[in-house]
Amino acid sequence: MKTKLLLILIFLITPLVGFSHIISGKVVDIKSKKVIEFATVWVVGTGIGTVTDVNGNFQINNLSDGNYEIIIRCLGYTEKKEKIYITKNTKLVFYLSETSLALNEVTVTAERKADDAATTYTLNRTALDHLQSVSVTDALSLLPGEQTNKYKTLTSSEQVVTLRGESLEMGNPDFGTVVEMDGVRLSANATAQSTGGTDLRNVGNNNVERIDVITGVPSVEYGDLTNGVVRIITRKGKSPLLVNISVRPNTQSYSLSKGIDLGGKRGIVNLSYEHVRSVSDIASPYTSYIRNAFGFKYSNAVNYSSGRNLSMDFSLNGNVGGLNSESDPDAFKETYTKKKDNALWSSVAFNYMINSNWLSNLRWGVTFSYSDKMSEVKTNKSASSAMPALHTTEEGYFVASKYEDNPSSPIILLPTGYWYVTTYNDNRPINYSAYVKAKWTHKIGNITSNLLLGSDMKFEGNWGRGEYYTDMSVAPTWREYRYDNLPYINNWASYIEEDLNVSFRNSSLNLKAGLRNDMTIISGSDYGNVSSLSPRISAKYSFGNTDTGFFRGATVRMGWGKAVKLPSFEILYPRETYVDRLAFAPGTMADGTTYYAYHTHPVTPIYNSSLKWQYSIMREVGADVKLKGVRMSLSFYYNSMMSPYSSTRFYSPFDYKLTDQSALETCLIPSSDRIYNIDRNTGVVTVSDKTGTLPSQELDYKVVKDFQSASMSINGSSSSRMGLEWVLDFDKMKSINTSVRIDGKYYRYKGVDEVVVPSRVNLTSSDGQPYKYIGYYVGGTGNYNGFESRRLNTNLTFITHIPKLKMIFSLRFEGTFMNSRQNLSEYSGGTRSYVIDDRGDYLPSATDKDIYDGDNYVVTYPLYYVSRDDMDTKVPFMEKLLWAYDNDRDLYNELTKLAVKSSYGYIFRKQSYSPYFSANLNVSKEIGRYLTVSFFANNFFYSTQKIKNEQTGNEMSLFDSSLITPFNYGISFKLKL
Amino acid sequence: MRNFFSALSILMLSLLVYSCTDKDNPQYELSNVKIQLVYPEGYNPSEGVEVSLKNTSTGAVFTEKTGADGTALFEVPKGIYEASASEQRVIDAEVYLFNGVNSNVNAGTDNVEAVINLELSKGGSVVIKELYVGGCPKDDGSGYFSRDQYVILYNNSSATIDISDFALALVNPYNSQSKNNDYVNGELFYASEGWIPAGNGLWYFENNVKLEPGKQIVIAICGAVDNTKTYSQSINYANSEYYCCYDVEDYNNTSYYPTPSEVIPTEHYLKVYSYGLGNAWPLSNSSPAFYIVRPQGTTLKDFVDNPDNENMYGSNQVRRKVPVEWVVDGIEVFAKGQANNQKRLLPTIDAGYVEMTAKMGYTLYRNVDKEATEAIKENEGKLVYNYSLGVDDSTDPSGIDAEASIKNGARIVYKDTNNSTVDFHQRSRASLRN
Repeated sequence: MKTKLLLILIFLITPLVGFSHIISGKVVDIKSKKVIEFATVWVVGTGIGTVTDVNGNFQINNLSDGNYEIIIRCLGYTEKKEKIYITKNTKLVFYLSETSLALNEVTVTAERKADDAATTYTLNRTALDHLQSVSVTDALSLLPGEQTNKYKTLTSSEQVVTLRGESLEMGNPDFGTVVEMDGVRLSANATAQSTGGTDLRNVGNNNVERIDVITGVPSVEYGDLTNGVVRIITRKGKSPLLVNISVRPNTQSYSLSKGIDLGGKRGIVNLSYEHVRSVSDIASPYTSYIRNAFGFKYSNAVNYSSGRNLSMDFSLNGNVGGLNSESDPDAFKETYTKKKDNALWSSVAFNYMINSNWLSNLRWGVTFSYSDKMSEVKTNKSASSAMPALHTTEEGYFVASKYEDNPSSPIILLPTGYWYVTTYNDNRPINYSAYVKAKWTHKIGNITSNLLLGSDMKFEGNWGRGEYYTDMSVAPTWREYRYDNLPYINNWASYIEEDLNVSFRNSSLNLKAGLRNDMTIISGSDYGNVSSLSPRISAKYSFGNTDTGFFRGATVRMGWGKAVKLPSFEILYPRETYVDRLAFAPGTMADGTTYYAYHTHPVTPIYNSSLKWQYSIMREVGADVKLKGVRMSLSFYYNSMMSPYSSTRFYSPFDYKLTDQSALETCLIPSSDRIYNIDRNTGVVTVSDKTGTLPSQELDYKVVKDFQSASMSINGSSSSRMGLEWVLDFDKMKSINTSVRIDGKYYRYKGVDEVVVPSRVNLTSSDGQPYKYIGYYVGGTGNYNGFESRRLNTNLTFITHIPKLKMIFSLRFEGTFMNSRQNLSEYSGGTRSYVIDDRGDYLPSATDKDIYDGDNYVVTYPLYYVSRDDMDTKVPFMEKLLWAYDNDRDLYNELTKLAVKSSYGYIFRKQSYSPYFSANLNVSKEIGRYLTVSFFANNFFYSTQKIKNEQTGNEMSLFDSSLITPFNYGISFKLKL
Repeated sequence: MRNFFSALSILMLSLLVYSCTDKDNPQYELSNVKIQLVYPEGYNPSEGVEVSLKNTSTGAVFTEKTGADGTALFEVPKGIYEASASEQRVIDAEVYLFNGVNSNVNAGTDNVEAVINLELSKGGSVVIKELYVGGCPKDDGSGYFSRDQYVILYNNSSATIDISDFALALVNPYNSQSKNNDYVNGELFYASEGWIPAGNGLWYFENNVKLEPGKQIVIAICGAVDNTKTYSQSINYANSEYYCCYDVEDYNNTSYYPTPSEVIPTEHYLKVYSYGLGNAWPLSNSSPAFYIVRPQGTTLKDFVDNPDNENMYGSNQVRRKVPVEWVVDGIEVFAKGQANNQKRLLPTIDAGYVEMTAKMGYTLYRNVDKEATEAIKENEGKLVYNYSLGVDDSTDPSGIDAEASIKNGARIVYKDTNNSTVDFHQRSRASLRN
């Protein structure tokens, strides 16, 4: 198989015919007739293209005979596509129109990129302006079937994008969705304590030129993902000064941006600044999230006489801001929460257009990403008796002491009275990468072959020192865990991809096959090197393209691929945990002091050397059909998430000694003269007399038979996601200047966790000792170990665009026709949950009832259990419980504590809501040459509709519910100076 | 006029009877009278009960005590007598009163036998005198301190009561204003099953505790230290008389349970049978339903250990099903100003509720039974009136300042109608701060 593949590759990369023709020409502003500099001129479906020079000239060499589609893009202008047929050297002039609502073609919706086999959507600047997005996440509501963002303010929570997946599901779909800005990965891998998505609140919104969203099987260029890629492309090129002012109840946004032509061959600089202030409560506008996003981009290109072209982009984007409540008068004096959300993303990219027989272009560059998510929380504390703060990192028994007596004591007694404590959490993830990729395009007859070879190295780490305190006399229980001591994740990826286009008379075929290898190197850890291969293929066949008749063309496409997600730091480096048990608690003295002693057992994290990298298998088929009056696009996908990152705990027996006040009742030494000593190893407490008058005394103790636990990262069970997405665009009805779009999605998720995990009941046994059994449950202790959810959303958008009035008006209805969830309790090796006749029962119903059959209380058993006395013998739980019921009542009583009963009878009844709707209104109007005014009202009829939950039979109001977007409105002014 | 004639006739008749008797029995002839006390079904006679015979004409009173068989033997002058007996028994920490009168014992012959049919009534018992749960303002103005809750149990009866097997319980749902899933079709589903839920755990005494009539026991529910140095409006529990809830093996949250003040003897610690999750006993600061349990026919431990007595609230909140008849006293607290308060205690335990404003240092204090308290002769001159510590419209209608009167040496009888709407009021100051 491998040899065959190699032979095919050799065939493909062997040049058969050279190129000969040159196309050259100019790009000109259609109105002013001025030449346009820095416009990109690209040959669609190839790696060939160039950039116009100071005089608007371009030249592309080495094109052979045939049909080409040329795409011309320039900031502030509407993208232009033109088909040409070349048989000789050709001179062309392309006219671009400035983006304006006066144009006939204006897109304010997500456009499907037709030239990609993988489902990809583009959201352009006009759409973002019309939507009046504040965050990048807002814009993604324009994707088929997606709904308006539920956030009203930036203060409430992180804003994360999840493609083809939802929160609460297994398999971390948010973590598997990655975001890039100007080629820089805004990675979340090294963000501490998180295996989640990338918070996009700190990304400037007004400097975004367009957003590409790849939800289908992406090119092998993209790695370290499982669910899709969001690519943010910032402004590049000459532009007037753009001033944007946008106001809504919770949020105000002001931004400036300009593209300056430095003249001559000095290139272009794009500058942007955006200030956003979003408050949590409009009645008390103090606690706020601030974004000060800035952008600097320098672009230059050198056109050589040979037709070769070297372009360079240096981009520096970032943010200074975050959440701050310091000025909030409602907070107690001096208390505050400050969370920095600073970031710096930078990249240098070179693109050398060679257009030679052997190489079309060569790209190389470096990227750098750094975030500062330092949080500082100052809180007020008070206590009437001295509380212990444990800082012990070593094994043994330690007694507390006052800070003034021993500042380095492993246990410090916190003060009594009133004080403040400031908690710092220094979390500064960083990643940088270097890449090189080469594309070689050649044409043999009607076949165009694009071969891509590339490699990149990525390094991810964290410079933060973790949680820390500057004043140790008031620091609570805390152990240092420095992120900057954790080894970097280094990933070396190399990939090869062949993109083959075959043109027939009335149709074309595109085949793409690629292979990516990720070699993850984590030196200084038990993981060592992990290699993962991701093959991906896709195909597309277009036919019947015509401009007349009822049927005007169709494309069918398919894709299959594997995508691997690298682990997060949280998964890779489980924390050292400390089991602290109170070992001595003498009575509190008159001044509030008591000398607590604790036994601390540090638990070394368990590195799971067999941990696999999570991956998804993506499958997709789609069709795009153009009929008279309507364009349709359908995508069906079925993705399986395999070996998702998950974690479990392990338990082992652990004894400690406990001495309490009763042992001191007989102590003759007055409490103010006592010195308590605890033997670090044995835990025996000795009281001695400060004054030396009375002899020392050893205290009685009790042995507590407990457990200790440690966590370990594991691979969970697989889950599947399938869906159908559709877009129907009806052509504009000229009489009413209105076009209609219907888009929607059907989505189904199913995930059942069958990993057997231990769990402990935190109770005491009847003998007064901690509960001695550990149950092993299939997929955790919940009555359900998975669920299936379905969603059917349809959006209907009316877009009225009147070019004469330079006005666009859109009305969007968002309908949810299906929103259901069915809890599941499944185990391929048997049954894990049983119906009980009465909610008081512990034994399954004698009649064979189905847990899914209506209203039934359910009991879930562990598969087996182990006892503290014999941790190796796995006792089948149900069998033993039934036996104990008849033969050993005490054991039965104890074992029932491991059985988990449902609190409701309807737990396995399907939860589904009756359909519900909301509607948004957006208006944009250009006034004169310089001003555009936009207005929006989301959920403007402020739905008070009541919907029924089929599971409980209860009705709930949509008013202020989390199911639909809250009522919100705003206005924005955009000045073009 | 008619009344005048009636009174005159009675007077005349009395004079006639008096003169006749005197005339017919110039010498004292004696009669042996045997009085048998007849107890209600299920109660055996007891020895030493005082029986009185009162001569209806002379007013002479004779008393004797019963023997083991419940009979009392008299030798009295012949005549018509009224026989009466009363007995107070303490059974299972409850005071049972047996009272009976036979007003027509005709001791006209040498040997007479008569019975007194005793009727049973329950007397006052141990009651929750005060429940302080709402916390108090912190001195720095930063909020309120609430880890200083306490309860005072009081012996409202005239007998010494052994409370060693009492236990403290709370109902889960913990707050009256939060959603209550126990309501099915508008009714508490456990009402028909004869039990009341006890959430999280039950506190019990490890040692024998007896409560004399009119005496009280202070139990710190959490924070049994001197809290007043930091929070001047809180409670100082550094008192060797006090009891406290402290069981470090189950509830080891040191901010709820700092080691109790060293002056509280460890034998005053209540221990817990904990069956719920968490490291503290979650008695609500705003609106608990709190009650006292006394197990019958089993031990508290066996009761807790038996899974048949278990009931779940939500997916992981374990409760125990306490039989309603085990409940000695209970108090239902509603959060003041909340519209959605719902009752959790059944009417047999507490037919009403008392409203509370939390975080202000207020406490819930039992009203004084004015009539019963004033009826106690020894209280004369010791009762303090013009009680002024009520909050807003909530005050003790008796007007008696119970704490001030106790200081004066009065014996207070508290109102106990099993209805906290009339039995309790909100007091502006915890009594332990007096």
